[in-house]
Amino acid sequence: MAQTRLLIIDDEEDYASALAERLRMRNFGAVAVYEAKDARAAAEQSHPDVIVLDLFMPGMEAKDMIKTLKDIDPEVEIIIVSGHALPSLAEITQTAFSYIIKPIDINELIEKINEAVLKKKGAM
Amino acid sequence: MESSEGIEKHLAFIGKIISLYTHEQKNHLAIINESAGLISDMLEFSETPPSPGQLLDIIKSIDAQIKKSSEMAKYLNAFGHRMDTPLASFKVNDCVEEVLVLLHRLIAQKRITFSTIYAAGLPPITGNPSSLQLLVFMAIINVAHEGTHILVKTLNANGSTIISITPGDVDAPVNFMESSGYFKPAHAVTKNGREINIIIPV
Repeated sequence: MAQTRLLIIDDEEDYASALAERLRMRNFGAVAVYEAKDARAAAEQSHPDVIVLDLFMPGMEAKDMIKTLKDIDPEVEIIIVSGHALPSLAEITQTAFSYIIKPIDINELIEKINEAVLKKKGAM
Repeated sequence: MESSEGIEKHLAFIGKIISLYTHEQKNHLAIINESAGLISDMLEFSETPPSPGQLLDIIKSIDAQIKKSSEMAKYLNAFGHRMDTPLASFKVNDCVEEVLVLLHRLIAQKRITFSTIYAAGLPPITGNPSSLQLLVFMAIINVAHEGTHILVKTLNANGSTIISITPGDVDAPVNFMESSGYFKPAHAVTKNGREINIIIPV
């Protein structure tokens, strides 16, 4: 079975690097970038199946970032992760597969990732 | 007594500070959560146990986040206590610093940088410190454009304490004018259409 490729985009470096490491220990192919400006190149190079995106990053409007990532690969699924708990973010998040509030439960995230992969494969 | 408009603005201000603070705290908790989870995973999943150096690096990261969280909590606690009484004697520099620290999340998101010059030995102010913080907040929001640098100064001139807020992006308009209703007898003026001065007679 092919390894699921993940791209984590989050400006909290300690958080993102630890999360990527934990996901690699669970046999995901996870890479992390910590600046919005690096996200595009990382998405083009790593061809992720699923992107775990921080909603609020310096120098980035979330809806613009989602559009950019979807332009690179319309099939990619995006899971938004944020400390922002407001449901009124529906406009931004509706183009994403799911939304998880920080701090996350890694098992919940993995469940969402697996669901996103199934959706991508057309099984959901 | 605040006007109903003033009360609405004050509540919106408090709400903004609380939402920024809790967002920041959730980020700190997320880092602690992942760092602790990583240690647990290293012990559970790795074929070779993690080295003391690896563990120490992660523990240092957790420690740093706890210190940041504690520092932010200290400022929010002080901010909350500014509302204990509508009339108090307080230090302007502390009052301004609290607002700047608690706006950190908003500032980082917009890539705004601050520099501060606090005058030493300013006389204490008597009034409602929370209302003054609202005034400072409104002035900062007015000039908080993406990527700008904001200079915040306190000084004493002509028998008044002045809080001066100057944005670095010279093209952006500053439309912050009369706001004396929020902290009497302070009033705010713009100088050369750029610099906001909150003037508090002492």
